[in-house]
Amino acid sequence: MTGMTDHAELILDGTKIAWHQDRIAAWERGERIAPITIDMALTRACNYGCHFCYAMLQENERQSITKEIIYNFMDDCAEIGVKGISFVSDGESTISPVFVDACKKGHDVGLSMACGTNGFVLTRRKLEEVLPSLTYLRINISAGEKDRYGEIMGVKPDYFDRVCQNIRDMVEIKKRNNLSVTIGMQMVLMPEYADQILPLARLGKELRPDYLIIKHCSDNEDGDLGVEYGKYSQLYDTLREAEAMSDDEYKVAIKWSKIGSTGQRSYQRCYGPPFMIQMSGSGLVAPCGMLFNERYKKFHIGNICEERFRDIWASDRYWEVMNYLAGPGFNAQKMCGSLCLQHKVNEFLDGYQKGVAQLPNLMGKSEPQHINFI
Amino acid sequence: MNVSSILPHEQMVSLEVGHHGRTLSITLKSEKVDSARFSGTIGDVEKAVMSSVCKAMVGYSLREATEHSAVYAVKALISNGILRRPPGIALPSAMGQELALADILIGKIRQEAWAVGLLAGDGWNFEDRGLSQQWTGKGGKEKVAEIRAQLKKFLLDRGDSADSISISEIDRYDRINVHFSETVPISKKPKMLMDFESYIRDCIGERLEVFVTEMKDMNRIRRL
Repeated sequence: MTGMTDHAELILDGTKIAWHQDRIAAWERGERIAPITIDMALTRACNYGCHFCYAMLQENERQSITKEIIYNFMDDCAEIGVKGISFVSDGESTISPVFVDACKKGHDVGLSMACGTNGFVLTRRKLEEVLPSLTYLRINISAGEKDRYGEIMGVKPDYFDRVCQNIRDMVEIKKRNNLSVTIGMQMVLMPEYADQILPLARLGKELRPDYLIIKHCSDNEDGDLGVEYGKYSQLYDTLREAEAMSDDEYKVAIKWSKIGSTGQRSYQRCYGPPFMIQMSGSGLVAPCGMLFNERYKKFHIGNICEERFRDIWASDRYWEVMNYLAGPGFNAQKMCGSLCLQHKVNEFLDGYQKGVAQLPNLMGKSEPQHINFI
Repeated sequence: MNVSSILPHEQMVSLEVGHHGRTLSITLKSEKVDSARFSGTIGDVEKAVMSSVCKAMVGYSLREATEHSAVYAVKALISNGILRRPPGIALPSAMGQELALADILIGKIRQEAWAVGLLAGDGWNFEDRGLSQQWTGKGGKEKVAEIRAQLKKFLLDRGDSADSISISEIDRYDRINVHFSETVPISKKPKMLMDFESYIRDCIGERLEVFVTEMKDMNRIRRL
């Protein structure tokens, strides 16, 4: 299992790590490499209560990310060689007062910027401001019908109408201004939401984002969210039916590689975090989102509200934690939750280390989209 | 590769590969590595590296031995001061030519083992070098007592107060939950936890894990 997919224009189920061969080579030589991608949030607050949300398991000591802090962070990232920042992580970044400024600042210093959001506050005015700065904007929406939307997303059903209108608006603004931003919808699927797969695929076909991606739900090592991985296989026919609704301008994609893996990992070492770290909306710097909770304090590296990110990254502490996860004292199959953000990167790098996967020859090949989001 | 002998009644297989004058010989007994030996090695460092790799292979399946022994050897060699930790990740590829050579030979063994069907049919490798039955078989009170004793020494060695860290419980997965006293500065806690875990792993010789009490979600509209 290498984790690579065949080259595609928009890779939604796979990793683009192999397009960063200079950084892989530096990693192999034992050099300190900057992450290619950082996934973070500007706050841990959220105006939704999604049934599936992993953020329920990620509480840690909260601090506030101000404009000065995020501006310093963006400058530091650009300085050390980070390439992409996504605002997803453990909070709803669009409700942070610094959201628009952060997107613009990141874009201005040369970083690729992206956001995952419930989309509720992204009304037309905000969209006009922020869309030009983004590589992608992804709306989390796990239902295609109003009442079920309310149940699954933990909000009043009426919120559904506003989000749908916001999606129409962002599609319209993109087209009108000929923007390069990719607009997507994402369904985090727990087996009990099966009734919403087709309604959501049909909704997407009506609203016309660039894609709808349907993915598994991650759970922690103790299964606290109650994801029944064995039940995904009962949904395969419905998922294929949803995929078949794709057309030339609207792609319905399923993260088959994760949905089909029953929550297990093929690898034991965790090699991904040096290439892709995650930060909490509290400012906490950690290797990944599965380790945000206070419970995993031994993995907590620093906080950008207290220290400059470039100093955190250069610290011995940062590399001590990364080495722990990559070393024999850690077994991701036993000691970690399921199918994390770094999973496909981990899979590829592990296969590469074992000689099972090779770095592809990319001469003459076109870069996939969103290359800085590995 | 030389599959030099197969003795069905003992299920023994011998494998040997060579590269640049060095040879790696492995004997499998009942599908586990019974012995591993490098020959043709040159110099003290190379001998120490190869010896460490061999030690990390014995007792495990061929699959596990070929996939992970180099990583275990790196840890041991750094601990023993034979190799220096690089600035970044201590991968076998970053640890010098001796380990690179060992990795090549291990890779050859793995390739040829696949070719002759010794690794055929294996799915993912779930073999875990985790806690021993000797540890997991102990009673809860005995485990807590042993860890408390090590904790006391750990804090004393560091000059920290005896109540800086206390053991809350050892759960059913043998994970150790601790809590800090209020006198421990917040900034000190992460490294202190990692150091404590490292300390008890070294002293007790088990892959123990240390955690702090979980923090509950402060977002009231979420369900947990």
